[in-house]
Amino acid sequence: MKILLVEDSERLAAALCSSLRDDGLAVDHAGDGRAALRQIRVYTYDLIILDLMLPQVSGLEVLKAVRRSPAPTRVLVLSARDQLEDRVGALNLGADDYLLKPFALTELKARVLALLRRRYGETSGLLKHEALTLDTNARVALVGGMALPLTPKEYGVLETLLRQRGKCLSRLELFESLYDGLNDASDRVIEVIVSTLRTKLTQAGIKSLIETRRGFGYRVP
Amino acid sequence: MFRDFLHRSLQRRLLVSLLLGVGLSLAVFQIVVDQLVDRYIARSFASPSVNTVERDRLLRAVDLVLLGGVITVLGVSAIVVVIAVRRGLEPLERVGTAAQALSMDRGAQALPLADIPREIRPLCERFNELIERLLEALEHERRLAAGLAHELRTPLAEIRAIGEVAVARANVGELHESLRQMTSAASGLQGMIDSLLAAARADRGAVRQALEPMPVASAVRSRLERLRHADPASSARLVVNVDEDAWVHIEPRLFDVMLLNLLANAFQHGDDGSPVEIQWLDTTAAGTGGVLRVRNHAPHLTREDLRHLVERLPRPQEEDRLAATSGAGLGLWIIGRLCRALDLDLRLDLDEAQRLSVELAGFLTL
Repeated sequence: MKILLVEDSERLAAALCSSLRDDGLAVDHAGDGRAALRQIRVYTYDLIILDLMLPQVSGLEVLKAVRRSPAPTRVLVLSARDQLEDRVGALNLGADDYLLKPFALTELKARVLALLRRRYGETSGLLKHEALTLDTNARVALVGGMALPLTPKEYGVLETLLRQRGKCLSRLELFESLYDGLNDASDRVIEVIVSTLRTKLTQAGIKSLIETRRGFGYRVP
Repeated sequence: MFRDFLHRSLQRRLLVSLLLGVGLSLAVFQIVVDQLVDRYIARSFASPSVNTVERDRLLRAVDLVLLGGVITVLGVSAIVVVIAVRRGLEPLERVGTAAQALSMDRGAQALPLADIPREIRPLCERFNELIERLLEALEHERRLAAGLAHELRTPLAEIRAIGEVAVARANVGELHESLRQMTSAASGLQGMIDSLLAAARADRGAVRQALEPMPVASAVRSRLERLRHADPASSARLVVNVDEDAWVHIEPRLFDVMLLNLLANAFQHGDDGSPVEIQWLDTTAAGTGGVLRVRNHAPHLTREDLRHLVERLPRPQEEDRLAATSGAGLGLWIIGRLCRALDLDLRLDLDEAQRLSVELAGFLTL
Protein backbone atom coordinates (compact mmCIF):
# COMPACT_ATOMS: atom_id res chain seq x y z
CA MET A 1 0.00 0.00 0.00
CA LYS A 2 1.45 3.36 -0.99
CA ILE A 3 0.91 6.40 1.17
CA LEU A 4 1.89 10.05 0.74
CA LEU A 5 2.40 12.00 3.96
CA VAL A 6 2.11 15.76 3.39
CA GLU A 7 3.36 17.45 6.55
CA ASP A 8 5.60 20.49 7.00
CA SER A 9 6.79 19.58 10.49
CA GLU A 10 9.95 17.59 9.83
CA ARG A 11 9.96 16.02 13.29
CA LEU A 12 6.35 14.83 13.07
CA ALA A 13 6.81 13.60 9.50
CA ALA A 14 9.93 11.61 10.43
CA ALA A 15 8.14 9.91 13.34
CA LEU A 16 5.07 9.07 11.27
CA CYS A 17 7.04 7.84 8.26
CA SER A 18 9.19 5.51 10.33
CA SER A 19 6.19 4.15 12.24
CA LEU A 20 4.12 3.51 9.10
CA ARG A 21 7.10 1.98 7.31
CA ASP A 22 7.63 -0.34 10.28
CA ASP A 23 4.14 -1.65 9.49
CA GLY A 24 5.17 -2.48 5.92
CA LEU A 25 3.56 0.50 4.24
CA ALA A 26 5.38 2.43 1.52
CA VAL A 27 5.40 6.05 2.65
CA ASP A 28 6.55 9.07 0.66
CA HIS A 29 6.89 12.43 2.34
CA ALA A 30 6.22 15.91 0.95
CA GLY A 31 7.16 18.86 3.16
CA ASP A 32 5.05 21.48 1.39
CA GLY A 33 2.05 21.78 -0.88
CA ARG A 34 4.03 22.21 -4.07
CA ALA A 35 6.08 19.06 -3.45
CA ALA A 36 2.83 17.20 -2.74
CA LEU A 37 1.38 18.30 -6.09
CA ARG A 38 4.53 17.07 -7.83
CA GLN A 39 4.30 13.70 -6.06
CA ILE A 40 0.65 13.10 -6.92
CA ARG A 41 1.36 13.87 -10.56
CA VAL A 42 4.05 11.17 -10.66
CA TYR A 43 2.62 8.41 -8.44
CA THR A 44 -0.77 6.94 -7.71
CA TYR A 45 -1.27 6.74 -3.96
CA ASP A 46 -3.74 4.58 -2.08
CA LEU A 47 -3.89 7.14 0.68
CA ILE A 48 -2.72 10.69 1.32
CA ILE A 49 -2.28 11.93 4.89
CA LEU A 50 -2.61 15.66 4.47
CA ASP A 51 -1.87 18.61 6.75
CA LEU A 52 -3.86 21.77 5.92
CA MET A 53 -1.50 24.59 6.90
CA LEU A 54 1.34 24.03 4.47
CA PRO A 55 4.01 26.25 2.96
CA GLN A 56 3.86 27.14 -0.77
CA VAL A 57 0.43 25.65 -1.56
CA SER A 58 -2.25 25.10 1.09
CA GLY A 59 -3.54 21.65 2.02
CA LEU A 60 -7.00 22.48 0.71
CA GLU A 61 -5.52 23.27 -2.71
CA VAL A 62 -3.73 19.92 -2.66
CA LEU A 63 -7.01 18.23 -1.71
CA LYS A 64 -8.79 19.90 -4.64
CA ALA A 65 -6.03 18.72 -6.99
CA VAL A 66 -6.35 15.16 -5.68
CA ARG A 67 -10.08 15.21 -6.24
CA ARG A 68 -9.65 16.55 -9.77
CA SER A 69 -7.62 13.46 -10.69
CA PRO A 70 -9.44 10.21 -11.53
CA ALA A 71 -7.36 8.14 -9.05
CA PRO A 72 -9.48 6.65 -6.21
CA THR A 73 -7.04 7.96 -3.62
CA ARG A 74 -8.31 8.23 -0.04
CA VAL A 75 -7.43 11.40 1.87
CA LEU A 76 -6.99 11.61 5.63
CA VAL A 77 -6.66 15.20 6.81
CA LEU A 78 -4.35 15.55 9.77
CA SER A 79 -4.65 19.07 11.10
CA ALA A 80 -4.34 21.26 14.18
CA ARG A 81 -7.32 23.31 12.97
CA ASP A 82 -10.05 22.31 15.36
CA GLN A 83 -12.98 24.46 14.28
CA LEU A 84 -16.16 22.82 13.02
CA GLU A 85 -16.03 24.75 9.75
CA ASP A 86 -12.48 23.50 9.09
CA ARG A 87 -13.57 19.89 9.46
CA VAL A 88 -16.76 20.37 7.47
CA GLY A 89 -14.89 22.35 4.80
CA ALA A 90 -12.27 19.66 4.32
CA LEU A 91 -14.83 16.83 4.25
CA ASN A 92 -16.98 18.75 1.77
CA LEU A 93 -13.96 19.21 -0.48
CA GLY A 94 -13.54 15.45 -0.63
CA ALA A 95 -11.50 14.41 2.40
CA ASP A 96 -12.43 10.92 3.62
CA ASP A 97 -11.48 11.47 7.24
CA TYR A 98 -10.24 14.23 9.57
CA LEU A 99 -7.97 13.67 12.54
CA LEU A 100 -7.05 16.45 14.93
CA LYS A 101 -3.51 17.01 16.23
CA PRO A 102 -2.28 15.85 18.67
CA PHE A 103 -3.41 12.28 18.13
CA ALA A 104 -2.64 8.77 19.29
CA LEU A 105 -0.46 6.91 16.83
CA THR A 106 -2.63 3.81 17.22
CA GLU A 107 -5.72 5.83 16.24
CA LEU A 108 -3.95 7.24 13.20
CA LYS A 109 -2.93 3.74 12.10
CA ALA A 110 -6.44 2.37 12.67
CA ARG A 111 -7.89 5.14 10.52
CA VAL A 112 -5.23 4.59 7.85
CA LEU A 113 -6.04 0.87 7.69
CA ALA A 114 -9.79 1.56 7.64
CA LEU A 115 -9.38 3.96 4.72
CA LEU A 116 -7.18 1.48 2.87
CA ARG A 117 -9.87 -1.19 3.33
CA ARG A 118 -12.49 1.20 2.01
CA ARG A 119 -10.21 2.00 -0.91
CA TYR A 120 -10.60 -1.65 -1.99
CA GLY A 121 -14.27 -1.97 -0.99
CA GLU A 122 -13.63 -4.21 2.01
CA THR A 123 -15.77 -4.12 5.10
CA SER A 124 -13.75 -6.32 7.45
CA GLY A 125 -10.03 -6.45 8.04
CA LEU A 126 -9.79 -10.06 6.83
CA LEU A 127 -8.75 -11.20 3.35
CA LYS A 128 -9.36 -14.93 2.77
CA HIS A 129 -8.29 -17.41 0.14
CA GLU A 130 -8.93 -21.08 0.88
CA ALA A 131 -6.99 -21.86 4.08
CA LEU A 132 -5.08 -18.58 3.96
CA THR A 133 -6.34 -15.60 5.96
CA LEU A 134 -4.76 -12.15 6.05
CA ASP A 135 -5.58 -10.00 9.06
CA THR A 136 -4.93 -6.55 7.62
CA ASN A 137 -5.29 -4.86 11.01
CA ALA A 138 -2.69 -7.02 12.72
CA ARG A 139 -0.81 -7.31 9.39
CA VAL A 140 -0.33 -11.04 9.79
CA ALA A 141 -0.94 -14.02 7.46
CA LEU A 142 -2.53 -17.14 8.98
CA VAL A 143 -2.80 -20.63 7.58
CA GLY A 144 -5.13 -22.87 9.56
CA GLY A 145 -4.85 -20.44 12.49
CA MET A 146 -1.02 -20.56 12.47
CA ALA A 147 0.92 -17.39 11.66
CA LEU A 148 3.16 -17.49 8.62
CA PRO A 149 6.61 -15.97 9.29
CA LEU A 150 6.50 -13.34 6.51
CA THR A 151 8.67 -10.25 6.23
CA PRO A 152 6.82 -6.91 5.87
CA LYS A 153 7.55 -6.84 2.12
CA GLU A 154 6.37 -10.42 1.59
CA TYR A 155 3.24 -9.64 3.52
CA GLY A 156 2.83 -6.47 1.43
CA VAL A 157 3.05 -8.37 -1.88
CA LEU A 158 0.55 -10.96 -0.66
CA GLU A 159 -1.88 -8.33 0.61
CA THR A 160 -1.67 -6.28 -2.60
CA LEU A 161 -2.28 -9.32 -4.80
CA LEU A 162 -5.14 -10.62 -2.64
CA ARG A 163 -6.75 -7.18 -2.50
CA GLN A 164 -6.74 -6.99 -6.27
CA ARG A 165 -7.59 -10.63 -6.84
CA GLY A 166 -7.90 -11.55 -10.51
CA LYS A 167 -5.97 -8.46 -11.64
CA CYS A 168 -2.52 -8.93 -13.10
CA LEU A 169 -0.06 -6.54 -11.42
CA SER A 170 3.22 -5.77 -13.11
CA ARG A 171 6.53 -5.92 -11.28
CA LEU A 172 6.71 -2.12 -11.36
CA GLU A 173 3.21 -1.72 -9.93
CA LEU A 174 4.04 -4.05 -7.06
CA PHE A 175 7.34 -2.27 -6.50
CA GLU A 176 5.68 1.14 -6.35
CA SER A 177 3.05 -0.09 -3.90
CA LEU A 178 5.73 -1.43 -1.56
CA TYR A 179 8.59 1.04 -1.78
CA ASP A 180 8.65 4.78 -1.19
CA GLY A 181 9.84 7.14 -3.90
CA LEU A 182 13.28 7.65 -2.35
CA ASN A 183 14.15 3.97 -2.43
CA ASP A 184 16.76 3.23 -5.10
CA ALA A 185 16.25 -0.56 -5.21
CA SER A 186 15.42 -2.13 -8.59
CA ASP A 187 11.94 -3.47 -9.27
CA ARG A 188 13.62 -6.85 -9.81
CA VAL A 189 13.56 -7.17 -6.03
CA ILE A 190 9.89 -8.10 -6.47
CA GLU A 191 10.97 -11.35 -8.20
CA VAL A 192 13.04 -12.27 -5.15
CA ILE A 193 10.23 -11.41 -2.74
CA VAL A 194 7.65 -13.39 -4.74
CA SER A 195 10.00 -16.34 -4.88
CA THR A 196 10.56 -16.49 -1.11
CA LEU A 197 6.85 -15.86 -0.54
CA ARG A 198 5.93 -18.81 -2.76
CA THR A 199 8.36 -21.03 -0.88
CA LYS A 200 6.83 -20.09 2.48
CA LEU A 201 3.29 -20.56 1.18
CA THR A 202 4.15 -23.94 -0.30
CA GLN A 203 5.75 -25.04 2.97
CA ALA A 204 2.49 -24.07 4.71
CA GLY A 205 0.53 -26.21 2.27
CA ILE A 206 -0.73 -23.48 -0.08
CA LYS A 207 0.43 -24.20 -3.60
CA SER A 208 0.03 -22.25 -6.82
CA LEU A 209 -1.53 -19.20 -5.13
CA ILE A 210 0.47 -16.65 -7.07
CA GLU A 211 0.47 -17.05 -10.84
CA THR A 212 3.20 -15.60 -13.05
CA ARG A 213 2.01 -14.23 -16.38
CA ARG A 214 5.11 -13.83 -18.47
CA GLY A 215 5.59 -10.29 -19.75
CA PHE A 216 2.68 -9.03 -17.65
CA GLY A 217 3.29 -9.72 -13.98
CA TYR A 218 1.68 -11.59 -11.12
CA ARG A 219 -1.85 -12.33 -10.02
CA VAL A 220 -3.92 -14.33 -7.57
CA PRO A 221 -6.70 -16.01 -9.56
CA MET B 1 -47.80 50.17 41.81
CA PHE B 2 -49.64 52.01 39.05
CA ARG B 3 -46.50 54.00 38.38
CA ASP B 4 -44.53 50.77 37.87
CA PHE B 5 -47.29 49.42 35.68
CA LEU B 6 -47.02 52.53 33.51
CA HIS B 7 -43.22 52.71 33.43
CA ARG B 8 -42.83 49.16 32.21
CA SER B 9 -44.51 49.93 28.89
CA LEU B 10 -43.96 52.87 26.59
CA GLN B 11 -47.30 52.12 24.94
CA ARG B 12 -49.14 52.31 28.27
CA ARG B 13 -47.44 55.56 29.14
CA LEU B 14 -48.35 57.12 25.83
CA LEU B 15 -51.93 55.85 26.00
CA VAL B 16 -52.54 57.11 29.54
CA SER B 17 -50.83 60.46 28.79
CA LEU B 18 -52.87 61.05 25.63
CA LEU B 19 -56.15 59.94 27.18
CA LEU B 20 -55.54 62.14 30.21
CA GLY B 21 -54.73 65.02 27.88
CA VAL B 22 -57.82 64.49 25.74
CA GLY B 23 -60.01 63.91 28.83
CA LEU B 24 -58.80 67.05 30.59
CA SER B 25 -59.19 69.14 27.43
CA LEU B 26 -62.72 67.90 26.95
CA ALA B 27 -63.55 68.48 30.62
CA VAL B 28 -62.31 72.08 30.39
CA PHE B 29 -64.17 72.48 27.11
CA GLN B 30 -67.31 71.10 28.64
CA ILE B 31 -67.08 73.40 31.70
CA VAL B 32 -66.40 76.52 29.61
CA VAL B 33 -69.14 75.80 27.07
CA ASP B 34 -71.54 74.88 29.85
CA GLN B 35 -70.88 78.18 31.63
CA LEU B 36 -71.28 80.18 28.43
CA VAL B 37 -74.49 78.41 27.46
CA ASP B 38 -75.85 78.69 31.01
CA ARG B 39 -75.20 82.46 31.03
CA TYR B 40 -76.73 82.86 27.60
CA ILE B 41 -79.86 80.96 28.62
CA ALA B 42 -80.06 82.80 31.94
CA ARG B 43 -79.88 86.15 30.12
CA SER B 44 -82.43 85.04 27.50
CA PHE B 45 -84.86 83.91 30.19
CA ALA B 46 -84.25 86.95 32.45
CA SER B 47 -87.82 88.33 31.95
CA PRO B 48 -90.17 87.69 34.89
CA SER B 49 -92.78 86.38 32.53
CA VAL B 50 -90.67 83.46 31.58
CA ASN B 51 -91.47 80.17 33.12
CA THR B 52 -88.49 79.23 35.30
CA VAL B 53 -89.45 75.58 35.13
CA GLU B 54 -89.09 75.68 31.33
CA ARG B 55 -85.74 77.49 31.70
CA ASP B 56 -84.38 74.94 34.16
CA ARG B 57 -85.51 72.06 31.89
CA LEU B 58 -83.69 73.69 28.99
CA LEU B 59 -80.56 74.15 31.11
CA ARG B 60 -80.60 70.44 32.12
CA ALA B 61 -81.17 69.40 28.49
CA VAL B 62 -78.21 71.50 27.35
CA ASP B 63 -76.06 70.04 30.15
CA LEU B 64 -77.01 66.51 29.10
CA VAL B 65 -76.26 67.18 25.43
CA LEU B 66 -72.89 68.69 26.29
CA LEU B 67 -72.00 65.84 28.65
CA GLY B 68 -73.11 63.26 26.08
CA GLY B 69 -71.06 64.97 23.40
CA VAL B 70 -67.99 65.09 25.61
CA ILE B 71 -68.34 61.42 26.55
CA THR B 72 -68.84 60.43 22.90
CA VAL B 73 -65.84 62.49 21.82
CA LEU B 74 -63.79 61.01 24.67
CA GLY B 75 -64.76 57.46 23.61
CA VAL B 76 -63.96 58.08 19.94
CA SER B 77 -60.72 59.82 20.93
CA ALA B 78 -59.75 56.85 23.10
CA ILE B 79 -60.18 54.46 20.16
CA VAL B 80 -58.29 56.78 17.81
CA VAL B 81 -55.52 57.26 20.39
CA VAL B 82 -55.14 53.51 20.96
CA ILE B 83 -54.91 52.86 17.20
CA ALA B 84 -52.58 55.81 16.63
CA VAL B 85 -50.25 54.87 19.48
CA ARG B 86 -50.09 51.23 18.39
CA ARG B 87 -49.35 52.17 14.79
CA GLY B 88 -46.92 54.86 15.86
CA LEU B 89 -44.97 52.41 17.99
CA GLU B 90 -44.91 49.68 15.35
CA PRO B 91 -41.40 50.58 14.03
CA LEU B 92 -40.08 50.51 17.56
CA GLU B 93 -41.64 47.10 18.15
CA ARG B 94 -40.14 45.86 14.88
CA VAL B 95 -36.71 47.02 16.04
CA GLY B 96 -37.28 45.33 19.41
CA THR B 97 -38.27 42.05 17.75
CA ALA B 98 -35.26 42.23 15.39
CA ALA B 99 -32.95 42.97 18.33
CA GLN B 100 -34.43 40.05 20.26
CA ALA B 101 -33.75 37.75 17.30
CA LEU B 102 -30.06 38.71 17.14
CA SER B 103 -27.73 35.81 17.80
CA MET B 104 -23.96 36.04 17.92
CA ASP B 105 -23.66 32.35 17.09
CA ARG B 106 -25.43 32.71 13.78
CA GLY B 107 -23.66 35.88 12.70
CA ALA B 108 -25.95 38.70 13.69
CA GLN B 109 -27.83 40.64 11.05
CA ALA B 110 -28.05 44.41 11.35
CA LEU B 111 -31.29 45.99 12.53
CA PRO B 112 -33.54 46.85 9.57
CA LEU B 113 -33.39 50.59 8.82
CA ALA B 114 -36.17 50.70 6.23
CA ASP B 115 -39.30 52.59 7.43
CA ILE B 116 -37.58 53.53 10.67
CA PRO B 117 -38.70 57.00 11.92
CA ARG B 118 -35.94 59.56 11.94
CA GLU B 119 -36.23 59.94 15.75
CA ILE B 120 -34.93 56.42 16.38
CA ARG B 121 -32.83 55.99 13.23
CA PRO B 122 -29.60 57.33 14.88
CA LEU B 123 -30.14 54.86 17.73
CA CYS B 124 -30.52 51.94 15.28
CA GLU B 125 -27.53 53.06 13.21
CA ARG B 126 -25.35 53.33 16.31
CA PHE B 127 -26.56 49.95 17.49
CA ASN B 128 -25.69 48.40 14.11
CA GLU B 129 -22.22 49.94 14.23
CA LEU B 130 -21.63 48.54 17.70
CA ILE B 131 -22.87 45.09 16.66
CA GLU B 132 -20.59 45.16 13.62
CA ARG B 133 -17.57 46.04 15.78
CA LEU B 134 -18.50 43.38 18.29
CA LEU B 135 -18.78 40.78 15.55
CA GLU B 136 -15.41 41.85 14.15
CA ALA B 137 -13.87 41.48 17.60
CA LEU B 138 -15.45 38.06 18.05
CA GLU B 139 -14.26 36.95 14.62
CA HIS B 140 -10.78 38.23 15.46
CA GLU B 141 -10.76 36.24 18.70
CA ARG B 142 -12.04 33.15 16.90
CA ARG B 143 -9.30 33.33 14.28
CA LEU B 144 -6.71 34.02 16.91
CA ALA B 145 -7.88 30.97 18.86
CA ALA B 146 -7.65 28.90 15.67
CA GLY B 147 -4.12 30.21 15.08
CA LEU B 148 -3.17 29.42 18.65
CA ALA B 149 -4.62 25.94 18.34
CA HIS B 150 -2.43 25.35 15.31
CA GLU B 151 0.73 26.73 16.90
CA LEU B 152 0.28 24.76 20.11
CA ARG B 153 -1.16 21.51 18.80
CA THR B 154 1.56 20.85 16.22
CA PRO B 155 4.51 20.66 18.66
CA LEU B 156 2.32 18.62 21.01
CA ALA B 157 1.60 16.21 18.16
CA GLU B 158 5.35 16.02 17.45
CA ILE B 159 6.18 15.20 21.07
CA ARG B 160 3.44 12.60 21.33
CA ALA B 161 4.23 10.89 18.01
CA ILE B 162 7.98 10.79 18.66
CA GLY B 163 7.35 9.39 22.14
CA GLU B 164 4.93 6.73 20.94
CA VAL B 165 7.26 5.61 18.15
CA ALA B 166 10.17 5.40 20.62
CA VAL B 167 8.08 3.33 23.05
CA ALA B 168 6.87 1.02 20.28
CA ARG B 169 10.38 0.41 18.97
CA ALA B 170 12.03 0.11 22.37
CA ASN B 171 15.39 0.65 20.70
CA VAL B 172 17.87 2.08 23.20
CA GLY B 173 20.13 3.29 20.41
CA GLU B 174 17.36 5.49 18.94
CA LEU B 175 16.15 6.67 22.32
CA HIS B 176 18.69 9.46 22.59
CA GLU B 177 17.70 10.94 19.23
CA SER B 178 13.99 10.64 20.11
CA LEU B 179 14.56 12.44 23.40
CA ARG B 180 16.56 15.15 21.64
CA GLN B 181 13.75 15.73 19.17
CA MET B 182 11.15 15.78 21.93
CA THR B 183 13.21 18.32 23.87
CA SER B 184 13.50 20.48 20.77
CA ALA B 185 9.72 20.33 20.16
CA ALA B 186 9.04 21.07 23.83
CA SER B 187 11.42 24.03 23.62
CA GLY B 188 9.46 25.42 20.65
CA LEU B 189 6.23 24.93 22.55
CA GLN B 190 7.66 26.69 25.60
CA GLY B 191 8.78 29.61 23.42
CA MET B 192 5.28 29.95 22.01
CA ILE B 193 3.62 29.80 25.42
CA ASP B 194 6.10 32.32 26.90
CA SER B 195 5.46 34.65 23.96
CA LEU B 196 1.70 34.41 24.30
CA LEU B 197 1.87 35.07 28.03
CA ALA B 198 4.19 38.03 27.44
CA ALA B 199 1.76 39.43 24.84
CA ALA B 200 -1.23 38.90 27.13
CA ARG B 201 0.48 40.55 30.13
CA ALA B 202 2.22 43.37 28.27
CA ASP B 203 0.88 46.54 29.78
CA ARG B 204 2.21 49.99 28.92
CA GLY B 205 2.39 51.22 32.50
CA ALA B 206 4.13 48.11 33.82
CA VAL B 207 6.54 48.02 30.87
CA ARG B 208 7.66 51.63 31.47
CA GLN B 209 8.51 50.76 35.07
CA ALA B 210 10.70 47.87 33.92
CA LEU B 211 12.84 49.64 31.28
CA GLU B 212 16.57 49.20 31.75
CA PRO B 213 19.70 49.78 29.65
CA MET B 214 20.75 46.75 27.64
CA PRO B 215 23.38 46.06 24.95
CA VAL B 216 21.62 44.96 21.74
CA ALA B 217 24.48 42.76 20.48
CA SER B 218 24.61 40.84 23.75
CA ALA B 219 20.83 40.19 23.69
CA VAL B 220 21.03 38.98 20.09
CA ARG B 221 24.00 36.71 20.92
CA SER B 222 22.15 35.24 23.89
CA ARG B 223 19.08 34.46 21.77
CA LEU B 224 21.31 33.06 19.03
CA GLU B 225 23.03 30.70 21.48
CA ARG B 226 19.70 29.24 22.52
CA LEU B 227 18.67 29.00 18.88
CA ARG B 228 21.87 27.14 17.99
CA HIS B 229 21.11 24.63 20.71
CA ALA B 230 17.47 24.10 19.68
CA ASP B 231 17.79 24.39 15.90
CA PRO B 232 21.37 24.30 14.59
CA ALA B 233 20.31 24.19 10.92
CA SER B 234 18.25 27.39 11.08
CA SER B 235 20.80 29.29 13.14
CA ALA B 236 23.41 28.62 10.43
CA ARG B 237 21.25 30.72 8.05
CA LEU B 238 21.43 33.77 10.27
CA VAL B 239 23.50 36.80 9.28
CA VAL B 240 23.97 39.18 12.23
CA ASN B 241 24.83 42.81 11.62
CA VAL B 242 24.54 44.52 15.01
CA ASP B 243 26.89 47.20 16.31
CA GLU B 244 28.64 46.14 19.54
CA ASP B 245 28.18 49.66 20.94
CA ALA B 246 24.42 49.78 20.44
CA TRP B 247 22.51 50.15 23.73
CA VAL B 248 18.78 50.56 24.27
CA HIS B 249 16.37 51.24 27.10
CA ILE B 250 14.06 48.25 27.03
CA GLU B 251 12.32 45.61 29.12
CA PRO B 252 14.85 42.77 28.56
CA ARG B 253 12.35 39.88 28.71
CA LEU B 254 10.06 41.47 26.12
CA PHE B 255 13.02 42.29 23.88
CA ASP B 256 14.01 38.63 23.97
CA VAL B 257 10.44 37.52 23.18
CA MET B 258 10.39 39.90 20.21
CA LEU B 259 13.74 38.59 18.97
CA LEU B 260 12.57 35.00 19.36
CA ASN B 261 9.40 35.63 17.36
CA LEU B 262 11.11 37.73 14.68
CA LEU B 263 13.64 34.97 14.05
CA ALA B 264 11.20 32.08 14.42
CA ASN B 265 8.86 33.76 11.94
CA ALA B 266 11.66 34.29 9.43
CA PHE B 267 12.94 30.71 9.78
CA GLN B 268 9.56 29.00 9.72
CA HIS B 269 7.90 30.99 6.99
CA GLY B 270 10.85 32.24 4.94
CA ASP B 271 12.23 30.49 1.92
CA ASP B 272 14.15 27.36 2.97
CA GLY B 273 17.89 27.72 2.81
CA SER B 274 18.00 31.45 2.12
CA PRO B 275 19.78 33.65 4.67
CA VAL B 276 17.95 35.52 7.39
CA GLU B 277 19.51 38.88 8.20
CA ILE B 278 19.20 40.62 11.55
CA GLN B 279 20.36 44.22 11.57
CA TRP B 280 20.52 47.13 14.03
CA LEU B 281 20.17 50.64 12.62
CA ASP B 282 20.72 53.68 14.81
CA THR B 283 18.51 56.37 13.29
CA THR B 284 18.40 58.59 16.38
CA ALA B 285 19.71 61.51 14.31
CA ALA B 286 16.72 61.15 12.01
CA GLY B 287 14.43 61.21 15.04
CA THR B 288 13.25 57.62 14.83
CA GLY B 289 15.49 56.08 17.52
CA GLY B 290 16.95 52.62 17.06
CA VAL B 291 15.58 50.19 14.49
CA LEU B 292 15.78 46.40 14.68
CA ARG B 293 15.33 44.84 11.26
CA VAL B 294 14.95 41.19 10.23
CA ARG B 295 14.88 40.29 6.55
CA ASN B 296 14.10 37.00 4.86
CA HIS B 297 13.32 35.87 1.35
CA ALA B 298 9.56 35.52 0.86
CA PRO B 299 8.98 34.62 -2.79
CA HIS B 300 5.25 33.95 -2.52
CA LEU B 301 4.22 37.01 -0.55
CA THR B 302 2.58 40.01 -2.22
CA ARG B 303 2.48 43.61 -1.01
CA GLU B 304 -1.27 43.19 -0.59
CA ASP B 305 -0.64 40.45 1.99
CA LEU B 306 1.45 42.68 4.25
CA ARG B 307 -1.43 44.41 5.99
CA HIS B 308 -2.97 41.07 6.93
CA LEU B 309 0.16 39.65 8.49
CA VAL B 310 0.06 41.58 11.75
CA GLU B 311 -3.67 41.82 12.28
CA ARG B 312 -4.01 38.02 12.01
CA LEU B 313 -7.47 38.53 10.60
CA PRO B 314 -7.41 37.66 6.94
CA ARG B 315 -10.66 36.76 5.25
CA PRO B 316 -11.18 32.98 5.20
CA GLN B 317 -10.20 32.57 1.55
CA GLU B 318 -7.01 34.56 2.22
CA GLU B 319 -6.18 32.65 5.37
CA ASP B 320 -5.18 29.47 3.57
CA ARG B 321 -3.24 31.39 0.99
CA LEU B 322 -1.37 33.37 3.66
CA ALA B 323 -0.67 30.21 5.60
CA ALA B 324 0.91 28.91 2.45
CA THR B 325 3.10 31.96 1.88
CA SER B 326 6.39 32.97 3.34
CA GLY B 327 6.21 35.42 6.20
CA ALA B 328 2.86 34.70 7.83
CA GLY B 329 2.75 33.49 11.39
CA LEU B 330 1.34 34.07 14.82
CA GLY B 331 4.75 35.46 15.79
CA LEU B 332 4.09 38.72 13.95
CA TRP B 333 0.82 39.17 15.79
CA ILE B 334 2.65 38.72 19.11
CA ILE B 335 5.31 41.23 18.03
CA GLY B 336 2.53 43.69 17.08
CA ARG B 337 1.02 43.41 20.56
CA LEU B 338 4.38 43.92 22.24
CA CYS B 339 5.18 46.90 20.01
CA ARG B 340 1.98 48.59 21.14
CA ALA B 341 2.97 48.10 24.79
CA LEU B 342 6.51 49.37 24.14
CA ASP B 343 5.47 52.31 21.92
CA LEU B 344 7.41 50.91 18.97
CA ASP B 345 6.44 51.06 15.32
CA LEU B 346 6.12 47.76 13.51
CA ARG B 347 6.82 48.19 9.81
CA LEU B 348 6.61 45.56 7.11
CA ASP B 349 7.96 45.92 3.63
CA LEU B 350 8.54 43.74 0.60
CA ASP B 351 11.27 44.88 -1.75
CA GLU B 352 11.69 44.14 -5.46
CA ALA B 353 13.89 41.13 -4.68
CA GLN B 354 10.94 39.64 -2.71
CA ARG B 355 12.68 40.16 0.61
CA LEU B 356 10.30 40.62 3.52
CA SER B 357 11.62 43.23 5.92
CA VAL B 358 10.15 43.39 9.43
CA GLU B 359 11.29 46.50 11.31
CA LEU B 360 10.76 47.51 14.90
CA ALA B 361 11.40 51.24 15.06
CA GLY B 362 11.51 53.76 17.88
CA PHE B 363 13.82 52.11 20.41
CA LEU B 364 15.20 54.53 23.01
CA THR B 365 18.94 54.46 22.38
CA LEU B 366 21.66 55.39 24.86
